[in-house]
Parts: sequence; C-alpha cells; structure tokens
Amino acid sequence: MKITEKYVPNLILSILLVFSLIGTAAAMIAKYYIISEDTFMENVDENNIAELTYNEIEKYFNGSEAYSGIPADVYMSAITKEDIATIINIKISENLSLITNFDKVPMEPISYENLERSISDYFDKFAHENNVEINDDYNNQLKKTIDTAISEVDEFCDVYMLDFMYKKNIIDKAADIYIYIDPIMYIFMGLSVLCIILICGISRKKIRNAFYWISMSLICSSALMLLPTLYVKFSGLAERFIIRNETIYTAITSLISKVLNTMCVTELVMLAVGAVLVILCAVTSKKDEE
Amino acid sequence: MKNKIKSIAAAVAATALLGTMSMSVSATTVDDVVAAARGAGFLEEYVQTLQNFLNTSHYTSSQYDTMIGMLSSAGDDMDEIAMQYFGKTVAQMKGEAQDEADKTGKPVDDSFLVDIVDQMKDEDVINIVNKIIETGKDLGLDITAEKKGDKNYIITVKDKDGNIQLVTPVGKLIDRTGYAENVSGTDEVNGAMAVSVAVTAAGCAGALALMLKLRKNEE
Amino acid sequence: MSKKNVKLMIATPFVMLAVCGGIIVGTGAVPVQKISKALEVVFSADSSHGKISEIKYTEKEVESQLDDGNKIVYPSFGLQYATLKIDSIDLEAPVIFGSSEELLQQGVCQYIGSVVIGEKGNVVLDAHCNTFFLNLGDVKAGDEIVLTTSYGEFKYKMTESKLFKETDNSLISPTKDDRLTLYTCYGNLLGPTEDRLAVICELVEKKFYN
Repeated sequence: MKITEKYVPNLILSILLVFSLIGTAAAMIAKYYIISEDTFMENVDENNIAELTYNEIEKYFNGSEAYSGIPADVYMSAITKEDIATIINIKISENLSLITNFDKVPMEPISYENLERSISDYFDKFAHENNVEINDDYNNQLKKTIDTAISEVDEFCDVYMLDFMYKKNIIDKAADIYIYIDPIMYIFMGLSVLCIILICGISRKKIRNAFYWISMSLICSSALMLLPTLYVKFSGLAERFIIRNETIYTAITSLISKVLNTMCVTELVMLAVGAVLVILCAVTSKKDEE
Repeated sequence: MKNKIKSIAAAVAATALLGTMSMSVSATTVDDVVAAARGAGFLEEYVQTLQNFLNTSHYTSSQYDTMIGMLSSAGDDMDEIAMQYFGKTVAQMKGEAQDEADKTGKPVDDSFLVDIVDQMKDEDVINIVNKIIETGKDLGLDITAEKKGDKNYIITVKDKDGNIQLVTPVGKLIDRTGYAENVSGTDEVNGAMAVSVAVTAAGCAGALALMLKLRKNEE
Repeated sequence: MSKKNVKLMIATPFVMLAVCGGIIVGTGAVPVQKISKALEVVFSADSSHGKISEIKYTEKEVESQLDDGNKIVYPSFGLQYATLKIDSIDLEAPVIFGSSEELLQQGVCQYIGSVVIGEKGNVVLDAHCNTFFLNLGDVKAGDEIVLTTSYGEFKYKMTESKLFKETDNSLISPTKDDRLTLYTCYGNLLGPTEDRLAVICELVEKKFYN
C-alpha cells in the first residue's frame, strides 16, 4: 500500500477526530461544569457574594427609611447573611434545575416568615402608639410593605440574573438545547473512539504513524479551542459587563473568569497529551532508523 | 520673483482662510443635534435631557454630526416600525399627540411611543441600543446600567475620566431588550462565510498539494 | 514516513488547521451573528471604571446667553447651582442639577429632563418626603417660592397641588408656560407608596444679574 493511499484516509479521519474531540470537550465542559450548581455556588463562596448582597440590602433599606418611615433595623433584624446565602443558592438550584430537568420543575417560593413577622410587629406597634385604626387601608398597606420588602430582597439575591433570564425565556431556550447534550456528548465520544481505532487500524504496521495522526488531531482541536478562549480571557471582555450593581458584576465576571480558566486548563491538557504523542512518535521513529 | 511668490502665498492663505470661514459658518451645533432628536420623534423630556447634557459638554462639529447620524438612524428604524404598524412616522404620531394636548389643555400623551416600542422585536431594540452605545464610545463616553427591581434600570453615562455626566432612569422601554428572535442574512454573515470558504478551500488545496508531493517523492 | 516527508509532516497540521478552522468559522457565522449584537450591548462598558460605587462629578459651569439676551449659566450633572427658599414652611435648601440616590441625600434635586432655572418651560425639583420636602404638603396657594442662582433670582407663586401616581409622567413633562413643579412621595402610613404629591407654581418674577 503506497503512503498516499494511507495519507488521505488518515487525514480525513484526523479531521473528523478534531471535530469529535472539540464536540466531546465542549459537551463535557457544558454539562459537568458550566450548567452545574456546584460551579455557581462555589463562585458565590469564593467571592463572598452573600456578604456583598447583605451589605447591598442593608444599604437599600437604610435609604428607603427616608420615604417609608420604617427603620432599616426592622428589616435587617429579620435577615442574616446565612439567610441570604441560602436564598442565593435556592435561586441557583431552581433555575439551573429548569435547564437540567427534562420535566420542568415549578419554582417553590422561598420562606420569608421572619421578615413578614418583623414588619407586621412594627406596624402593630406603630398603630398602637399612634392610635391608627386597623382597617382595610392599614391591612393593604401592610401587605404592600411586606410584598415590596420580599420582592426587593429576592431581587438582590438574584446575583446571576437567573430570574431575569427565566422571565426573558432564555432559561427555556437553554433547556431546549440542553436536552441534546447527552446524546451529543456520547455521539462525539463514540466518534472519537471510532476514529482512533480506524487510525490505529490503518497504521497497525507502524504504530508511530497512529501516534502522529492522533497527536495532530489533539493539537489542532486544542489550538482551535484555546485561541478563542485565550482571546476572550485576555481581552477583558468580562470586565466590560454593562450591569454595575456590585453583587451582580462581581458574581458574573468572576463566574466567567472561572469558566474560562477551566476551559484553558482542559485545552492545555489536550495540547500536552498531543505533544507527548508527537514526542513518542519522534522517539520511536528515531529508534526504527537506528 | 520675490513679489510673485509673496502674492501667490497671500492668495493661498486667503483661500484657506475663506475655506475655514465657510466651514465655521456651516459647522454643526448643539441646536442642530437637538433639532435632529426632536425631528426623529424622541419625547420632549429626552430631548431636554440631551440638551442639558450637551450644554456643558464640549464636542467638535464632526462629533455633533456623528450624534445627528445616530439619531437619524435610530429615528429611521423607529419610523419603519411605526409605518409598518400604524401607517405614520413617529414625528407624525408625536405631532398628533401634541395637537390633541393643545386642544384639550392636557399634557402630551406619550403612549404612542410605548405602542411603537411594543411592536419592536428584541433584535430591533438591541440594534438601537447598540447604535447609542457605539456613538457614546466614539464620543469617549462609557454607558453602564444598574438594575433597580424587576423592570427598571438606572443608566449612568461617564466620561473617559470616570466623571458622571448623566444619570437617568429607564423604565418600560428597556423591557423589550433580550435575545434576537430572527436572523436574516447580513453582510457580516456573508463576509464570514466567504472567509470560511476561502480558508477551507485553501486547506483542501494544501492537502491536495501535500498528496501530490508525497506521490512525487514515492516516484 | 521517511525523512523525505518531514516537511510534509510539519505542513500537515497547518493544512488540518486551515480546513477545520474554515469549517468552524463557516458553520459558526450564523449563530455567532445572532447573539453578537446582544453580546456587544451586554459587554460594552469600559472595564477601567470599575463598579457603580465610584461616584465623582465634573462640577462644570458653562456661561451662555438666552434668546432674549440674558446671561445664563448651565450647570453640569451633580452640581449645586441654586438655592430653594419657601418661607411659609421655613425651608431653605440647596438645589442640585440632576437626580440620583446619592444626590437626594444632599439636597433638592432637579429632574434632568426639565429646563434649567431661567429657561422657558417647566423646572422640576424633587426631594425626599422625610427630609427637605417634609412639609411640602403645607404649602398653600399664593405662597412665594424663590429660586436663587449665580445668574439671577426667580420668584414663583404656588397655584395648586395634585396627587399623582409614580408611573404618571404628565406633571413632570415639558410645558409651554413658565412654571416650577416640586414633588415628593406622599403616603398617609408607613411603608412604600406609589403616590406622589406635586406642588405647581407659576413664575411671577425673574431678575437676571446681567
């Protein structure tokens, strides 16, 4: 068999292997890292986002005292940093489960019992001290105050703007794509294995040729992924995020940075494996010549 | 000879000066930008906000031209939608609202603008917002947003030194911003396709060349 | 592969990169174009300006002339450029051009979509109901309101007060007549309110320091 008769099939299989490796890596990173509660929650812990959120909420209620007449302490005595962390994690969990569960799970309401009780107690105390009549207006205003407070705390805890994305149907669109991630991953994995087997089969008499072709595929696939990843990482794209609420900006920019770092590491590992195979190919080629 | 050179130089200088003067006579001003905003159909309060901002900002005539270009372009986009759904331009709808206000003595009813925005696809809103942001960048401005509750945003405009130039709330208008729903062929996509075809073709040609070289080596 | 083919071995990955890169760019062009406009908006800010907590103003004034020849001084956003005085409620407060959470702590703020004091139209000022505009509701028809700037003094007389919802822009919109609109939150109990109280005043005297 002439070399050219092996070159073309090896080249075609290597090109197929490049796409298979890219598909496999991308699907695995998306499934196990990007759409993963752990990634989001770890990022919250690493960047003290719960504490930042608590401070923002405190600042908001301090400011709202000017027009609501309700001291900030009424709200803040009913909320702890642990509560905030819990609410943030529940939001992450619920929104991501909408993507990962094939059956869409309806969102369960978070309990704000302590906050409701604190506001009600303050209203009762105010009414008692100022002889305010407990009527429909009073009850409506109490309900409005509680609803507004809950809504504001809820908004502040949406640090990744996942609720916002849900309302804009972005979560639904992601869920529609996510359904295919498992089949895509397994198909590409299978294709990768098949290509490797076929390359090895064609080069069974000189296995170093198989090393060469597989290493070329690894190097090309990692280069094609690494270049855009490095560009996005070092161009400072994440820091140009337009929303400048401290918690949202910190949460989203740090998450993007974390994901990009993981992608870089994965791609560098692929590149390293490719490099090792090239070295093996060169070493075995030299041995054969000797 | 010396006198001839002097007279030629004087003539050249006079022509240049005349040219500059005629340029300054027709130079674009703040009033032109404000008129363009009004003509594009923007609400009077936004026109006033723009005027207040420009009153203390020093831009060149060509920068004012850039602003007018953006306002006209955004106005054209809004006009297209207004014509499609209401059969009138934005300026015509604004004029009708103004006439009604003059007749009744009530303030101008700006719901016509909300009606137009409600008809806009997310892609249309993103296009207009993008134009505003790009124009802002050309003028050395940085535009950021702060989320306040569910549907309200506070837009902050800073200059290149980070000094706040403007803070303005944006409410319902921002509600329509989101993912693009439709994609039609554009010059950018066609350009990328052309590049990809060229690169792939070059790659395949390279592979063919390598194969031929291999065959030659074997012979 | 023999030594003769070393050059081919080196050229092969570049060929592969060209083919694969070309195919990826071709297939990715349409989806990338679809989301690129949205991404351009979402990641359009200047990274060097950090977070919203950085607050600084230019503090600039620009002299100009009105159509009637009177001198006016335009303030930049965040600048205190006038003083508001309402004797009937014992109020004297700084007026700041522009409005934000931070500026509302410092004084009475001017709505940025309203005309500068001295220009023709509706000057709109607002402040918190438990600080500077605590007693705004006590201003009665006929009470005098004075706005003093570096370029003139402007006297208004209260004509009427109105309650309106926070979603109603009609009272803060530009007008053809010269007026002053003061507004603040309005509520008869604790908690947030959607209601606003507007005090509308007509211009009775303007004195420019030309």
